[in-house]
Amino acid sequence: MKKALALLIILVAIVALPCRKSIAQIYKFQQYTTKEGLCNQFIYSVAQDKHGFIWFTTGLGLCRYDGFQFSSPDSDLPASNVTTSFRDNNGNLWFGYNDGLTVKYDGTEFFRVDTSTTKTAVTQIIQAPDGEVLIATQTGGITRIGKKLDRFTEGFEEIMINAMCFVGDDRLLAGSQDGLYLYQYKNDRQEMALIAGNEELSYMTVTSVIPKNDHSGYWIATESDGIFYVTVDGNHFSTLRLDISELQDAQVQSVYEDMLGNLWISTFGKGLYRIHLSEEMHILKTSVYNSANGLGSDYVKQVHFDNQQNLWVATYGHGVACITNLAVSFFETLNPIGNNATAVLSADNSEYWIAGTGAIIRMITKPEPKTVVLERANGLPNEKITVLRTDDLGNLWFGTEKNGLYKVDRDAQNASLFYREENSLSNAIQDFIFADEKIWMATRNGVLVIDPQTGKKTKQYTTFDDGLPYNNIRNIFKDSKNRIWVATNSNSLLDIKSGYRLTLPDESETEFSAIAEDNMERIWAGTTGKGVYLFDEARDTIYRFTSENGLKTDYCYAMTFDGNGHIWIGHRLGLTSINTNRLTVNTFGVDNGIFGDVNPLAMILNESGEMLVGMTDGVMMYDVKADQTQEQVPMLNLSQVLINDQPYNAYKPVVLPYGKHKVQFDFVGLQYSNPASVSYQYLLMNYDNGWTKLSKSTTANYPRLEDGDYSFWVKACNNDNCTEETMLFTIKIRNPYWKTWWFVLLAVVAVIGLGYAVIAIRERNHRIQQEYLENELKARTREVHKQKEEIEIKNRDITDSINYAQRIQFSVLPSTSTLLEHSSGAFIFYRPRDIVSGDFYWFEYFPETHRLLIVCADSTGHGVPGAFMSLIGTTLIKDIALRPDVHGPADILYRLDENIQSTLNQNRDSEQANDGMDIIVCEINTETRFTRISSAMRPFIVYHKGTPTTYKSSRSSIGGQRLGNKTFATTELQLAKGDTIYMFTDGYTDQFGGPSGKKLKMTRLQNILNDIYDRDMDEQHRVIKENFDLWKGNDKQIDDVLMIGVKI
Amino acid sequence: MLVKKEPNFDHLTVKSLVALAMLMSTAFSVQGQAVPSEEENIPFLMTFGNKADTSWGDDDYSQTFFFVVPETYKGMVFIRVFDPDIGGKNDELNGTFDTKMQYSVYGGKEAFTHPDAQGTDPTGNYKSGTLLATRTFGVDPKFDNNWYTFGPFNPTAGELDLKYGGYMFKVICDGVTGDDGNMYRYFMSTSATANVPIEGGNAFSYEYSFRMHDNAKEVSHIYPYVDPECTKIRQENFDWDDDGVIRVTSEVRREQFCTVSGDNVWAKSEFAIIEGEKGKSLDFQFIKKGIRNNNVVINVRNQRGDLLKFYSSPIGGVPKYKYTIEANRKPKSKQ
Repeated sequence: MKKALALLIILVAIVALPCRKSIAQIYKFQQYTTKEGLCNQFIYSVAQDKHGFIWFTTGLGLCRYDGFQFSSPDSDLPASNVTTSFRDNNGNLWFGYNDGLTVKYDGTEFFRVDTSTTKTAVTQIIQAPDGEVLIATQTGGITRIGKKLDRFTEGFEEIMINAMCFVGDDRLLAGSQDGLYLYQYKNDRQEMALIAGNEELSYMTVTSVIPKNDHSGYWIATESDGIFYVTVDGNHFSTLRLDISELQDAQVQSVYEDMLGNLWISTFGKGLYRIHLSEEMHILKTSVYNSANGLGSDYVKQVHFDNQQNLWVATYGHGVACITNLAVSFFETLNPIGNNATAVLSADNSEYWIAGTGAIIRMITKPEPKTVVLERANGLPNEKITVLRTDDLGNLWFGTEKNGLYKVDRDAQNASLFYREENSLSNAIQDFIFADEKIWMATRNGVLVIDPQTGKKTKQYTTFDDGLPYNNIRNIFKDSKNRIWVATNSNSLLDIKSGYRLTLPDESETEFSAIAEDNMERIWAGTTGKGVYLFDEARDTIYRFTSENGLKTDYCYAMTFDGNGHIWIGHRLGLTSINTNRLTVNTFGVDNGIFGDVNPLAMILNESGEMLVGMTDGVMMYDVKADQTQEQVPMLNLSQVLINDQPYNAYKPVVLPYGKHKVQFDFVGLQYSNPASVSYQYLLMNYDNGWTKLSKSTTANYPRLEDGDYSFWVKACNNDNCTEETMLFTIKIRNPYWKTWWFVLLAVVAVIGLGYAVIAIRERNHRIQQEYLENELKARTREVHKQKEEIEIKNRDITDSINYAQRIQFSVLPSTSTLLEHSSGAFIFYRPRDIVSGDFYWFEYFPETHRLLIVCADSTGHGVPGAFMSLIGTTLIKDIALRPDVHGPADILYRLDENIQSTLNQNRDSEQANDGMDIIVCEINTETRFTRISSAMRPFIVYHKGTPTTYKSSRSSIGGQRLGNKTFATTELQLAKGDTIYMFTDGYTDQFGGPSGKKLKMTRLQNILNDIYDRDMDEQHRVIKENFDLWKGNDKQIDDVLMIGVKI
Repeated sequence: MLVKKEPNFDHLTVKSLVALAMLMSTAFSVQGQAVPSEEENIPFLMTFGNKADTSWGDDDYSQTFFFVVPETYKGMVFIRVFDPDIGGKNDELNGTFDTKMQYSVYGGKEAFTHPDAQGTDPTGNYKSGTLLATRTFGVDPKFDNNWYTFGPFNPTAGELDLKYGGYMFKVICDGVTGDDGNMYRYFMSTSATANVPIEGGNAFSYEYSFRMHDNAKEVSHIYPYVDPECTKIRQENFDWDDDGVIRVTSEVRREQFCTVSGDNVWAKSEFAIIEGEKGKSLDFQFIKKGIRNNNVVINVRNQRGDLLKFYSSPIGGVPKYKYTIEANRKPKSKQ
C-alpha cells in the first residue's frame, strides 16, 4: 500500500514536474519619462495636432513630442494640471485645465477661452455635430462655444460631469459620479434639460462615454462596475454589460475603440486591456498590457492611436509608453533554455514550441494555458537543437547540432534518437523537411534522405557524384512546385531533385543561408555577406538587396514569408522586412525592442498568421493580422526657427529689417515608429543653388542672409515613401531704402524733375536768349532791311549801270553781218556769265588785202572787270589791226601784249594785277583762203575737207606777269571752201554739267563738232547753243562763253 | 542642603509609553501621515451616519482632514482608508448597519484655501476644490478591518500652498445616510498596497472627531499647534460624557485642565498661552474614567477665533514637560 502510494506520488511528480507556469508575453513599449525630457510623470491624455506633433497633457502643463525630443510650448500657459484634451474637426486642439482654464491651439498659437466664471476642473471637451465645442466642468455645468459663449448650469447643479457625448444633434449623454444622464436642448438650443437617467447605471461613477465606431450605440465605462454598451431610443436606454471578468476590482479610467473594433480599457491598478469583440458583443480575446509584460505601469489613464497607428499610453505616474506595432511581442525568461531560442515551431496560436540547448518548451494557450518543458529527463540530448518540425501525425521531430535526428512521440512526451550515423558531419543537422514521404536532411555532409518509417537512409547527395556544389547544406526548402532547394556555397540555388539551378548573373561563389518563397512563387535567398537575392523566374530577372539599399545587414540567417506581402529576414540585432510588391525595405532593431541575434533558420509562420522568430534573447512573435501600422510619409514640420539666435514662430512668415541675418531652421519629418530612419533634403529658394543631398541632418544653417525674399523647402523620405517638396517657411528681408520701389520712384522722379528743371532753366535761358536774339535779329533785320534797301538801291543802280555798260559793250562788239558777208557762213555763240562779259570778239575785213581778221578773246575775269578788259582789248586790237605795219596775227598778239602791259602798268608795277587775256587771232585771205591763226593760250579747231584738227596754242597769254620771253606762234593753213574754223574761249569746255556734274571738256566739244561741222552754220549755232544749255542744266554758268564758227 | 530630585514620571506618562509600545505591534507607522498617528494613541476616527442622534458623539456627521505632500515629492500619492465600510467589529452598531459613508478626496484650487474648507462644520462650500476621487461604502465585508486605497494621485493635483511647503489634499468623510458609527483610519502612502509614508508628508485637521480607547488606562493625545501670535486659546469639546479629564501639557506647562463636556453638549474653557509654547505644539491628553465606546469632538481656537490645527505628527515633536528642580522639597530622613 505504502509502495503504491509512493509510486503514485512519483508518477504525479514526473508528470507534474515538467509543467511550469505560463511564460509571459512581453511587449516592447518605448517608455518616456522625465529622464527623457517629459514634463511630468502623470499623463492625463494624448492628442495629435494637425501638423503631426504628439501632445501630452500632464500634471505640470503641456508637453509636445516630435519623435526626438519633448518641449513645452513657449507661451504664458500655466504649468499646472491639464486634465483633458480634444481635437476638433478642423484639427484644432483644445486643452482643459484643473482650475477651469480652457485653451485652444490652432497649430500655431494658443487662445484662451474666456471661461473665467468657471473655476472648477474641466473634465471633457467634445464637439457637437453642428461644430460647436462643449466644455464640461466638474461642478460648473457645460460651457458651449459657438458664435458666442453660453453656459448651461441649470440641471447640472447636482451632477459632476466626468464624460459626455452627443446623441444625434440635440441630445447629450452625460456621465457623472453617480450615473448616466440624458439631456436635451430646449428653447431653441438656449437651454439644456435633463430628460432621463439610466437606471441600471445609477450610483455608478461613469468615467467615459464614447460613441461606438459604427454609431449604433455608446460605450460606457464605469470606475468600478465594468463596461456597458448603451443604446438610446428616444428617452429610453438599452444597456448591456460586457462580461469582462478581468476588470473586476479594476478602477476603469477610460475606454477607447480602435479602427479594428477592439476596445481599449485603461485602468488604475491593472494596466491596459484590449478586448476583441465579435459582432454580437462576445469577447473573443482579451489581452492585457501592464508592468509585468512591458508596459511599465499598471496605472493607465488613457490611450491614443496616432495617424500612423502607433499606440500611445498615458500612464499615471510613469510617463508615456509607446508601441509602434502591437503585433510584435516577445517571450522572455524562457527557462531552462536561458532565452537563447535556437529553433521555433508553431502550427497555430494554440501551441508554440521553442527549443534551445538541451530543452524544448511547449507553450499551450488553449484550452488552458500551460507550459511543458522537455529536457534530459525526457530523453533530450544535452546539445543545441537546430530545427523543429512536426509530421502529419503530430509527432515532433528535431535536429541537433551534432547528434542526429530525434523524434518525440506526441503522447509520450519522450524523445528518442531516430537517426545517427558514424559520420559526424552527417549528424550535424542544420535543417530538414518532409517531402515525397521522406525526410530530407540538410547536414554538413550533404543532403540525406531518410525513410521516416524505417529510419534508413535511402539516398545521400554530396559533391562527389550528385552534383552538389558543396556539402555543408544550411537550408533545405520545398517550394510550391515541389522543387527542393538547397542553400549552400555556390553561385546558384540548386533544385536537388531536378538539378535545375537559379544562377547568379556574375556566377560568383556565394554562401546561401536561407530560402523562402513569396505569394508570387518567386524564390528568395539570403546569404552570409551578400545580402538577399530575389529570383523572378517569370521575368527572368534577379534582384539584389544589400545594406546599401536598406537591408539591415548583408548577413542573413533566417527567412520567411509572412503571408501578408512581406519577406522577413533575420540578422544579428534585427530584422528586415521587404515588401514583395513594391520591393521596399524596412528594418527593425533596438528601437523596436530587438536586442538579440536571430538564430539560423529560427523563423516560422503558423496558420494563425503569427510569425515566430527565435533569437538569442528570447522569441519574437509578430501577429500579421493584428498589424495596424500604416505606411505613411513622414509629416514635415519646422520644430524651430532661430533668427539671430532668437526663436520665432515657426508657422508665421517673417519680415525682417534690412541687414545681414543669421537663420537656422530645425525641421523634422514626424514618424514615431522609427524617427531615425527619415532622411531629408532642403533648399532655401533664392539662396541655394539646388537641393542638398539626402541626409539625416535636421538643421539648416544660413549664417548670412541679405535682403531678399526666401522660402525654405524640405522633403523627407522614410524607408517606404517620400514626401512632396514642401515649403515650410518664408522670410522676407527688407531691401535697403535705396532699393525700395518708392525710393527708386522718388529717385526717378527726382531725376526727371531735375532734368526737367535743367531743361526748363535752359529753355528759359534759351528763351531769354532767343528773345534777345530775336530782338537783336529784329534790330539787325531792320538794319539789314535798311541796308538791303540801300543795297538794292545801289544794286539797282549798279545793275542799271552794268546794264548800261552791257549796251555799251554790245555796241562795241562788231555786227555779225561783216562775218557773214565775207564767209560761207558763221555763227557766234556769245553768252556772258554776268551782264557784261570778259569774253569779246572782233573782226574786220580789209578789202584792200582781202583779209578777214577775226579775234576771239577771253579776258581775265568776268563781269565788270572782264568787260573793262574786253573794252581795252577791243580798243587795242582795233588800233593794232589798223596799223599798216602789222604783219600778221602773231604780230598782233605781240603788240597787243605789249600794249596791255603798258596800259595796265604791268611792266612797271609788280604789285599790279595779272590781268590779261587769252586770245585767238585768225586772218583769212578770202581770195586765196590762206589762213593764218595765232593763239595765246587758246586752242582752235579746223575742219579741212571734213577732217578735224585741233591746234594747240602758244603757252603765253596776253598781259599778266612776264615770265621770260613770250612766243606767239602762227599756224598757217591753206583751207578750202567749206572748211570750217572753230574758235572758242574756255567757258564752253569748262562748263560743269551733264549727268555727273563734270566739265564738258574738249573731247565732247570735238564730238559735237564732228556731228555738226558740215551742217549749216545757223544749224550749228543752234546745236552749239542747245548742247551748252543741255549740258549746263541747272548748274550755274561758271564763265563767259564765246564760240565763233566760220565756214570758209 | 539641596538634594537633586530624580524626575518623578507621572504614571500616566509611563502608561503612555507602554501604550505606544503596544501600538507598535499594530500596522501604524511612526510617520505623521497615519491618521490617527501613533503619537496620538487614538484607536479610530469617528463619523456617524447623518441620521444618528448627536448624543452618540458626532456633532455634524462629517470629518475633514488635510494631507500635505511636499513639493519636492514627484511620485504617486495614495490615500488609504482602513475599515471604510460599515459593520464588522470596529464600527458602532445602532439598530442595524444601514449607514453609508462617503469618502471624497479633493485637490486643486481652493481645496484647502477656501474659508469654508477650514471650518469645523460641513457648511457652505466645505467641499471646495476639484473632486479627485470618491466612494461610498455601506456594508462591505471585503473592506471590513481592511484597507481601501484611493489613487494614485498626482501630487500636483493637490492645491499648492507654499506656506505649508507642498500640495494639499482634502479628505472628507460624510455619513450620508443611516445612524451607525463608522470607525476608520487614514494613511497617506506611496504604495497602493502597503503603508509606505511619503517623506516629509503630514496631516492635520481643525476639528478632531475620534473614538477613545475603552481601556481607561489608555491615554489619547491630540497636538494642536500654537502659532507664534497666539496668546490665549479656547478649547471646545462635545459629548465627553464627563468621562475623565482633559489635561493640557507642554514643554513649559505642567498641566492645565480643561472643562469637559457632558452628554450631548459642548463645553469650553480658555487659558493663556505661555511664551515657551508659541510656535510649538500642546499636548491635549484625554484621561478617561472608563466609559465604553466613548466618542469625542474637540476643537481649539486662538484669541482671534482662528482654529488651531491638530497635526498627526506634532510640530516641534511630542511636547514633553521639562521639569525643573524643586528646592523646597525636603529629603526623606534616614531611619
